[in-house]
Amino acid sequence: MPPAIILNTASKASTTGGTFADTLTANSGDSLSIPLTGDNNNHIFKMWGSDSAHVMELALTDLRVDSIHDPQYGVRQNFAALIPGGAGNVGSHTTLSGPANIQVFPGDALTMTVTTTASDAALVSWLTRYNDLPGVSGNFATWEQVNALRDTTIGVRVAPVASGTAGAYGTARAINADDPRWTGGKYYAILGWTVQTVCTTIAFSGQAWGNNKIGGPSGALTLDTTNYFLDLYAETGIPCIPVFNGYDAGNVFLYAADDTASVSPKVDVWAYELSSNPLPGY
Amino acid sequence: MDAEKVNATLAVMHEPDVSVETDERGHKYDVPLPGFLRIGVNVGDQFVEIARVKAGNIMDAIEGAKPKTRSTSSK
Repeated sequence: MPPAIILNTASKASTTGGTFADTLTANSGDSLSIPLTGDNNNHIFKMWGSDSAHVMELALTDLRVDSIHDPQYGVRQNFAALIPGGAGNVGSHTTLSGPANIQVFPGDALTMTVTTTASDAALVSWLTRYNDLPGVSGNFATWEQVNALRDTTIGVRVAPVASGTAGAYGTARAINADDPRWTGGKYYAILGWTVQTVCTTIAFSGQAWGNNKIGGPSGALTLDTTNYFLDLYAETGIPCIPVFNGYDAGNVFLYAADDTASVSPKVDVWAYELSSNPLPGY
Repeated sequence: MDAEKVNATLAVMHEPDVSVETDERGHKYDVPLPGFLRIGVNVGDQFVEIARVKAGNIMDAIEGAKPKTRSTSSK
């Protein structure tokens, strides 16, 4: 069974405020539950998020104390959401990255409570790496496969808009909705993206990738996302560079989620056109 | 050299944004978005920008802070 990297986001549009008084709920299509995996080699290894107007503290707990030490506060993490640039201008703060991670166990469920100020919007996104996730058969390639078949380079405008409900994903935006230059029959590898306006999370999904979300942050401190998926592969060794056929462009979608309502980050997707399918058999 | 004080007035400008959508006939149309607020000072005829912030949550706050108009109609 294949390894997988999956993006999830949880949010709350208008918090009550107070010490860990608000519980985040999973965004549409996402989940706080850990799926049933073939082994226990599952790790949350990247996490980022934001608060719309004040600093925020997260308490991440689950049901397995061998994962998060204790069920009272578990893992506490701070989001200095006003730095740099002030409220609404930061986009995201990374709270987990690099070789450190949080092991999670199949069938468990995460709980995310936050300390915020009343009426703020809060959201947290995270990537979980699964060593053996049954059922997932996404078209994800290695850098070596992509680089060996590289034909041309392309940058394509896609303009997803974050939801009018702060923190939630906006409407899915097809990858050919704003710039239809993808060629049917050609294979493309998405290496990353750039944005005009900071945004907490940019997500991709599609049938080609098992309809699971993948993606990353586009905050002021993490805007170097041109080679995001390439960097993710270099870090994890897991084939995670998403590949799709140009014929399928209408079924490849982008989403934006931000601490501010209705933000349009204006994404340019950075991709290689490939001379053939890097994943024969898919 | 001593700094010289100049007269300036606080100014806020709304910079609109749009999302270009496509209808079922393939026609493009603009959907207005909150855009940005550009906050700065007017010095003479020059606008000096201090900050540019996303307007989404602020526009909501402005709308929420507006006094509620009461109906004057009588039964």
